[in-house]
Amino acid sequence: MNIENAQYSADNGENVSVNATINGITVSVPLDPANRHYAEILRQVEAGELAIADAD
Amino acid sequence: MTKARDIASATTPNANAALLATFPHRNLIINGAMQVAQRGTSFTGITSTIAYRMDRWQVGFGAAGSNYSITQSTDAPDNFKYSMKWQRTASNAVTNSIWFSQAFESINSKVVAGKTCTLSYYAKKGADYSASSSDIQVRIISGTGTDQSATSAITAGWTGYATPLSTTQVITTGWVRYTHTVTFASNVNQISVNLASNSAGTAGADDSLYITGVQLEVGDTATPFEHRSYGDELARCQRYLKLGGAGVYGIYNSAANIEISIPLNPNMRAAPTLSMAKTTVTISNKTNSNTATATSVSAVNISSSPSGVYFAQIGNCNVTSASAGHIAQFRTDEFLQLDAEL
Repeated sequence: MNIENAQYSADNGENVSVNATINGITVSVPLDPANRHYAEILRQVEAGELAIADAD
Repeated sequence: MTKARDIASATTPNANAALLATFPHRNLIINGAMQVAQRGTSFTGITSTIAYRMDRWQVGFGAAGSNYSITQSTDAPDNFKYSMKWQRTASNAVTNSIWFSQAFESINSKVVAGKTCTLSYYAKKGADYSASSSDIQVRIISGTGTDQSATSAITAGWTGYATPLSTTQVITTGWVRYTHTVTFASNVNQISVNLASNSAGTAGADDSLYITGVQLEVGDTATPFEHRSYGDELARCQRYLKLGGAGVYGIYNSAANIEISIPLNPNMRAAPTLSMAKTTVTISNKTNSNTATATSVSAVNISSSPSGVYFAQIGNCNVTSASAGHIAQFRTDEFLQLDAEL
């Protein structure tokens, strides 16, 4: 899974999702480990292959 | 014999195949007849992208130079309306197998643990199908983990990965139903059904493969395909993919952003990933009676639940002279995609 431009999105000061481009598609991924995209984000972060920018 | 005794006698796998053939819900595959195509009916120019195409069917594992298409085809056996057609683009020389995969949730997999089951499907090849033996690959993958992804099944990444069924099947240019039996270990907690092209050489004009009527059932004999209504099949698919759009109301929280909520019915498998199926969206501002079309709409997920009411913020909607507190209604069909696939 090709994940680029990962950045947290916050609501009322709390991170609620990760915005990213996955396989060329802009998506907003919930922080749910059962979500396959978030599971892969976590795996790539753990492997040092991906960094998630802080929310604006 | 009473109905109760009929049913009791059928608990031995396919002891009475004719009786079992009347039982509903025996096909564990969702969208086996390729009826539901919420993401679209034609995908072309696919290279190495692994993605869901017909609902619940993930297709992929090509290479950078692959070039193929996936289509919901009306070329189908008697009593079927659709098949899934894979076609390698003419002159393409990349021969990576393209897998068609359906991974099951663990909650729907346990029924096969320790059982003999039967996989059946209809398949046919195009005139120039390139596999050297005119065959396809057929594989059922099992694991002992919980709700692991369809992609990691193909890459042997599942916990307790095993292939209780791994074979090839020669196909012809006519529709034929093929069957395979498989016995699962008692500790199986998740399964995936996989079919693949077996390309060779350079593609001709009709290097294609059609599949439909995929059924996996408990028992050692294939019963007739369980035809389900489109509505039934769509509801099953919406646990994994849901589209939202026209009619959804929201409230502007600024001049540009609208907060919306969408009831999730049925509940989704997991909190869904949100993306835009369309970015040109018509918005009716119900407070100032101004309707206009925004051309680069974006979306941010706020919700983290697979049930209840899903909520999100839709951005770049500053086309209706809006301000915070205005009420908006979306007028474009199915522009939001909520994805909770495995």
